[in-house]
Amino acid sequence: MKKIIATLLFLSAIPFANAEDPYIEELYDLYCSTCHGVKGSGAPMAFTNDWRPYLRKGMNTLVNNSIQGIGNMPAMGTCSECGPEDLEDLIKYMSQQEK
Amino acid sequence: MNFDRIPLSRRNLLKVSALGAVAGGSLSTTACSSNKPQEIGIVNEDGKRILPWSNWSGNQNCQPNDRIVPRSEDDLLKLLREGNQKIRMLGSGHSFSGLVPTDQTLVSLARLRGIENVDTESKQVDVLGGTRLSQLGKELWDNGLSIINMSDIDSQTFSGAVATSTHGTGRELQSISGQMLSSRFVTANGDVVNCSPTENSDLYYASGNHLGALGVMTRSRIQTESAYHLKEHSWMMSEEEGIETAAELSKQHRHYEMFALPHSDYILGLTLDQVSEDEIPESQDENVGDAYEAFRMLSNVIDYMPFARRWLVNYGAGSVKPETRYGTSPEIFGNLRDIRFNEMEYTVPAEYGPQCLREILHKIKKDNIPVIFPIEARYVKGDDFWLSPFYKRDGFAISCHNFHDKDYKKYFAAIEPIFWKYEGRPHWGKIHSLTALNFAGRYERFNDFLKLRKELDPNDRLVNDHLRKVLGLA
Repeated sequence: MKKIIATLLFLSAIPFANAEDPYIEELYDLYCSTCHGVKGSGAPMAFTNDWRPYLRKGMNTLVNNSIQGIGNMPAMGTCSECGPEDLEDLIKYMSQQEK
Repeated sequence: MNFDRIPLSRRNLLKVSALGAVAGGSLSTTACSSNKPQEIGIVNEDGKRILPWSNWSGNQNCQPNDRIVPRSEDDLLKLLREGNQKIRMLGSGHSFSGLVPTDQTLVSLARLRGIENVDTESKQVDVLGGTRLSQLGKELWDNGLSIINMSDIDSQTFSGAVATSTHGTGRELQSISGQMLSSRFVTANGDVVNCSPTENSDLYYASGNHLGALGVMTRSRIQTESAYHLKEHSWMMSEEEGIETAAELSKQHRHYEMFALPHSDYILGLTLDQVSEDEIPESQDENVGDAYEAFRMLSNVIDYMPFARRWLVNYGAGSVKPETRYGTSPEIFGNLRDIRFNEMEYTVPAEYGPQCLREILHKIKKDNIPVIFPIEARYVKGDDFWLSPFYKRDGFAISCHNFHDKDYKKYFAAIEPIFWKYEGRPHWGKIHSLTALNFAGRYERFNDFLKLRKELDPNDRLVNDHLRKVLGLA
């Protein structure tokens, strides 16, 4: 039970990216939606609770994984214009459960 | 290689239930990571954190000391005029050869994207160099236009696609470069040069496969068509029927391609033809295939049971039913799901293509090469671009792949000599073992390309180790 509460507290503490940020939305449409917007691609689906187990790894780990690529995800998700801050914003944006 | 084109279903494969359990176990571990949080990259002398670069499949990597994303052509001009570092451009990282890696400045045109100056009368538009092909298809559609032909992966940037003669399929259709009417380059010295068949024509004919060695291609004017819809049809046939009917089917359809399944007795045929909107049925069958999962699963099962390879692949291929779908050109050309792989592709003269493919499939079986990844075969019309694999001849491009996390080197080394036997020319952005000496014998304008490159980049600012090797530079 303590673990569940701790997880919920952790998740609620993550500051979500501003969904109104048009640049982050554009980056999502261009680079991320190809996999994170398609069921069955193997990637956690944007705007669903698929992200919950990933968020437990911590934001630094998730950003590093996206920089280097992991599993079927290519390095930087092929976003050559993205910096670490953009990748963090994109993770926060996609891990919103509703949009 | 677009897995979505192959309507293979994992559910059918899982009917081999005991094997499914093995495969499921293997798959479930792929998302795990034991990476510990750490700062990746370097801090350069300007105090800026610079991330490393890796291509899409992960077989090419580098740590540049600067990364620049110009927001305008003026920014790019300033960089080239005032800087003195060596520079390489990256598109979307879809090249498997070493075209991009540098330890100095890596430039992305990602902010120079979109289309401009749309002329619906002539159906011509300007495309900025950093525009993704998928974005191009959608923006053209919004303007009542469609791209003439498209590669089966559409995440490349326009300039990157042109740099390596990226192509789709169609006996009467040229590569993406063939749709280019004129282009603008910013040279290594910071000059702006326009080119077309009537202005700086040498640069134009070199630009259709420019390798990022002639300057930075910032925009092109391209020819398009009125927006059109497509019907896609795929079906499985025997290997022999696939080989024997390839040439004829390529003449009957606007686009024809084949996916040969190594170690199986099958080839998948796939046609695309233009249809009017009225011909599209109101309800369409949903794509039942999840070919990515299916092939990945098969591959994992075969790792455990290599002796059952042929039976398993035939079992999977035999479960594939004919499938038809309709849609707008960007929908049908588009590729939503993907899987990472490494690839070798050679283009042989069109008339030798089916025979070359047959020999490759035979070699894989005879030597028991451990690969099940489908081999893609496409027809492409010849063009006049100096280093294009389709230069002055219609081609049959054969693409061999393996999963990004499986060894590909032995497989490619075994089949590459077959391509040479059939006068094959490698795709410049894919894996091959040729050097400048080999290219000089394959391209009659090779030395003209070298001469032009030296004029445009006398100090070799745009040269990296890979270009030194394939262009034979000191």
